[in-house]
Amino acid sequence: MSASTLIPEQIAMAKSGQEPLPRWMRLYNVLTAPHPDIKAVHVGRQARITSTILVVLFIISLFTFSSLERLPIAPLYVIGCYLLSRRKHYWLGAVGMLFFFGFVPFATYFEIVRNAHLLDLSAVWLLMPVILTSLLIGLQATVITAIAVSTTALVVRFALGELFAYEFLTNGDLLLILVASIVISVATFIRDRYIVAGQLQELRDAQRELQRRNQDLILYNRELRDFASILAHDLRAPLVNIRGFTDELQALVREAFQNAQPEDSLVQQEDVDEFFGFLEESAVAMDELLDQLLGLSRAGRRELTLELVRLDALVEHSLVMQRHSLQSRQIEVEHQPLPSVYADHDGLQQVMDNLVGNAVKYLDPGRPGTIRIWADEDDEKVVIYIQDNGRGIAEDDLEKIFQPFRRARNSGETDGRGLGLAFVRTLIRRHGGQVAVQSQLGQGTTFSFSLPKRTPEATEAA
Amino acid sequence: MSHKTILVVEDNRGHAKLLQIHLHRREIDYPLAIVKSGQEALDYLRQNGDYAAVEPPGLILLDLNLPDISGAELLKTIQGQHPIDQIPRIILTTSDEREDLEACREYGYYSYHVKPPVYDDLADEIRGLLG
Repeated sequence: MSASTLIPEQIAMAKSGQEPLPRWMRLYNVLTAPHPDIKAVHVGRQARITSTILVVLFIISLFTFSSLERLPIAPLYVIGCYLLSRRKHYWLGAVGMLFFFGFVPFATYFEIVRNAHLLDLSAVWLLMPVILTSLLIGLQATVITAIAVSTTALVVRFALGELFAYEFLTNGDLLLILVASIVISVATFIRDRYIVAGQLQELRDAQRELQRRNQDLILYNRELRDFASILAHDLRAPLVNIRGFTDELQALVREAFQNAQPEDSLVQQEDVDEFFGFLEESAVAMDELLDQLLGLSRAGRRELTLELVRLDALVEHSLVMQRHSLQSRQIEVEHQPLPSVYADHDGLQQVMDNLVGNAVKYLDPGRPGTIRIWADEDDEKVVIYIQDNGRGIAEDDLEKIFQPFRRARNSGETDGRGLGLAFVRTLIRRHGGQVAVQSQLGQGTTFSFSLPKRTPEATEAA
Repeated sequence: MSHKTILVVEDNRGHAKLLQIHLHRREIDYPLAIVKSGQEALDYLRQNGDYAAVEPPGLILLDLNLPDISGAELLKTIQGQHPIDQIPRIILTTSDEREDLEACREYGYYSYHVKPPVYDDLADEIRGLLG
């Protein structure tokens, strides 16, 4: 699950049947921290934001109280902020900052460090609520608190005309800052503990259930593939007999006919040959069907060998296979340049053969056929499109066509066994991609499949 | 050498019969000894029980899909068992699954044919092996 899907607002949205949170609460949800448990997921983006803002705050405070003596704090401050924003060293950073900024007023008070007041205690007080919030609640809440606190402080100071003064904040200012941060802290705390936590629990339960079902599905799928394979093999054994003895019988009958007088016979030899023809044809058809079933089962199990595959070469190959149809039916093909991808060459060739073959096969004989092939890509994937202006698929049939042995109703007499697309989907899924189809009856169909972009290194792991 | 028998390990009666018909038609006249299970095949090869008096066969035609022990198991069992492992083995199978055949390759075989075999090729092979 990607990090961005977990912001509390979306958790609330995902929970069906639940009233959405009030607008102010949703805004606050988006702006502040998620529950500590999902903090981990957010840490990358959050860390950057937190560090940046804390450093900016520091620079502002530097300019607010320009004093060269305070500069040595800068690296420490930055390190502290950085640690604070890291998940692993979160506590270390927070404790360090607390100690550092707690030590300064202590030292100043007891005059342990000479000129400790130069460290500018107003900055310390400014940061205390920030640190406390980060300890108690979470990083994003810290950011909001820090912004609220520092803005308040700066506004107050500016209003008091003390922008360049080198003074403690007044007690009144401090009180304002503390109250503001405490209010924010408490609000965040309540939201996290009582609202998000509840939703999160449900989300976790749902996720667990999903994982369990996924496991079941994987098992079920494996059983099904094994079943298909066993079935195909076991069905083939009797078929060997049916075909074998059909041949034998035909030879015997033919011989009997040769020896018999034609007028003795109740049936004509042509009839018998026709009957045997039906037998043989059916047995061959069943054999082919079993072959395809085995192929489908194998596509689900076969080890994929990933290599750099030129999609253009695959398309060329598929078009060559369809050369006869393309020429005799004067089909126009628009083949735009495609990228290369890391994939299983043979598997992908079969996918391409299937999709190009379908595009040709289901063209409308009533009008000039056009097939377009192109690709789109972004950082993560390549999507290949194969479009035809053929007879199209009814909306009701769209989901069905990917299932084994199921074909669209208007496929009519067109030759095929209904396994090609099931095969395509299995192979593309195994590559981590997806197959999609868009179609309009009488207008044409666009099949597309996506393939994740992989580097050779990532391929090793796949 | 013409007295050598061919041991056919095949549980499907039809398949065995077709094999018999086609080999006979191609003038392969070595006697066929047909056994219907892996255990029976082992008994035959080891001359156990009913098979105490039989001669060791000159060739084994082996189906992989057997009711008791699989053809692959059988190959594994006779692997390294002298002199049984000297007898050439030809696999006849309905399966062209790569894994199945790779497992068998480890245990050694002369060739394999997917059923129904091209009988002319099979006959040529048998003639080549049995002379």
